[in-house]
Amino acid sequence: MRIFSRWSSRMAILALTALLAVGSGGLCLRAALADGPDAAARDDDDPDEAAIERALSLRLFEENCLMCHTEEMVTAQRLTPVQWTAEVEKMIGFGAPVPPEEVTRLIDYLTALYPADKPRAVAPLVDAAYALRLNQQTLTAVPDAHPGVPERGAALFARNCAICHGETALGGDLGTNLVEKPVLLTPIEYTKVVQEGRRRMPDFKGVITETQEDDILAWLWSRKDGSE
Amino acid sequence: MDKMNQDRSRTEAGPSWLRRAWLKATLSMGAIASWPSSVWARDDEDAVAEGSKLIVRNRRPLDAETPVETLTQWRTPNNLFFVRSHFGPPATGIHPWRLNVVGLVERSQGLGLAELQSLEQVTVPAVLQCSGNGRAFFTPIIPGAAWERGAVGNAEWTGVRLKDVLDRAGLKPGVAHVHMIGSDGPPNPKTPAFLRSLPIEKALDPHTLIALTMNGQPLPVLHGGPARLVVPGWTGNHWLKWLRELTVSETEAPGAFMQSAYRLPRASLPEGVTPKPEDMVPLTAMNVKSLIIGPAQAAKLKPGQSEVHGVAWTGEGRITRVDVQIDSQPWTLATLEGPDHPFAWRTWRLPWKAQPGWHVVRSRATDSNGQTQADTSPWNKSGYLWNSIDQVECEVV
Repeated sequence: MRIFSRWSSRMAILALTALLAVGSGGLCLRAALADGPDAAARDDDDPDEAAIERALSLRLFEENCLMCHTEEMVTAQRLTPVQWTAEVEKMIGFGAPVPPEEVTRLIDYLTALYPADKPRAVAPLVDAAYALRLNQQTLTAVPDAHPGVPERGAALFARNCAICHGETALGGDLGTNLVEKPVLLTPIEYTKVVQEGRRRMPDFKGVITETQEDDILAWLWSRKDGSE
Repeated sequence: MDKMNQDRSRTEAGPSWLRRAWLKATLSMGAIASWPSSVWARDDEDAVAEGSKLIVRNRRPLDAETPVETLTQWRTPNNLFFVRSHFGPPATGIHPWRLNVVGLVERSQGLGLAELQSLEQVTVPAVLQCSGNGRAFFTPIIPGAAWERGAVGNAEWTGVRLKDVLDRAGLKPGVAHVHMIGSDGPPNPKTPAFLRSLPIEKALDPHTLIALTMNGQPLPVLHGGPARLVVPGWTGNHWLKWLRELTVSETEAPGAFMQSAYRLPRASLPEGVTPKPEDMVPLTAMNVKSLIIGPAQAAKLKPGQSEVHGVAWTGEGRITRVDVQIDSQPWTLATLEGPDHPFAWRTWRLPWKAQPGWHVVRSRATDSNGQTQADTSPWNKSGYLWNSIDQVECEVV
């Protein structure tokens, strides 16, 4: 979040003002948001408003797109407004949980940053061993001696996780499919995500104990991909 | 304080059971450990050659392209082979692997890996190319993974004939398609699953395999291990990874990845024109194509005796010739050499007396069906089947 480090305290004040303005029905800011980031920047000489708009749009992008894939899939594209609209609508159809009132802002953000007439990005040339390790799990199989109890995990999952990840853990409104996914064989990542959260997933520190984590993992291991 | 420290070490080093097991595994000197050592993931048996690079178009799911100038071997090493999938590799080790064969069959099958390995194994060398290889070159720009030249490789695939597995099940009359799906479930129930189907004629082709081995190594997870489909001569979207279930049917598979993706208009249309759904037919065989491996794009060469070399392949038929053009000189026939298999690529070579200056080098392959590469590829809205004459620029100093 490099822009925050540059504008920090001034940004905080302006963000607070912006939120208050929207909350109380501030017409000026609402109109600016509705017109998209470019319009806002044009209407206003204040670069801070454009920066706030850009930051909110970036967060919208991060929270609704990056649950399923990393950002390069999007940022490497160079599309017309019609093409960006089609892509965003396709992604919403695929389950991207973009709030309906924010769809226009997301499309405007992507169109502004990644238009068809901008030169293409250069994809990074990466050490092959490193690139291949990006997908490597810690374990190749479920360990025999594991303390988790799947029956207890089922109840814990239903209570804490199903609301986002779905009752069957195959994905829901806000959480992705967990069944037979690599995170289940990468216990460090699993623990980190449960304890610290990630984007729209809240942290469960103090809510889910280590034993309960083990139980939920054991239950997740027992789930089979729906193709069977 | 103690609880805080516990929590912190959990997020850094993982849960206690993992730390205990890791300690045991590292301290045990051949003594009985609590788990077999095979549970811990090891680096691939096939070590990555030092200095190998991949062009990473997306980290998760991994879409990575091979830099073309490193495709110097007839067999593309597994760890250099391009990587592509829609949903990324699943955790394949959680359940014992099982391939189900169901639908219009006399006897439903459920085959484990050992059983698949016990059937007759055949090896087919074949080129695997992403349907969208070259998409970045179409104008106007097309949405999608912006592959350039390197979403392609050649490997020796070993496994069971799909035909043999289907014969074990016994096909009922009226069968026309084989549906297939892997264990890479979609990230969300609203996202269509990667469900595809093959026409029965191609499914029963003796070269169509359920591959368990790639270049002599167990099929790596990133390349669809433990079992994937190999459909020699056809585009990569057919080569279904992490194969879990085959359903024999009278009809094509439903769903977006079969019914709307991976289709072309029956007849070529002007760019920007949207074809009607009923006028779209599935991609099948690849088209003829060549790649200049050396010189590399933007290479700097010494003047004097040099060479232009590369590879060429096609979908159906054989490569009959590769011609090379340097600057505006006449097209010159290159020498085809190396292994000659129906679905693998040929290597070709042309000596070149490199004079100082900036040069444009082009290659054009022709196949036994009379297909040849042209200056442009027919535009299609998905950016499939780019096969224009390959071209590199280099400088001789």
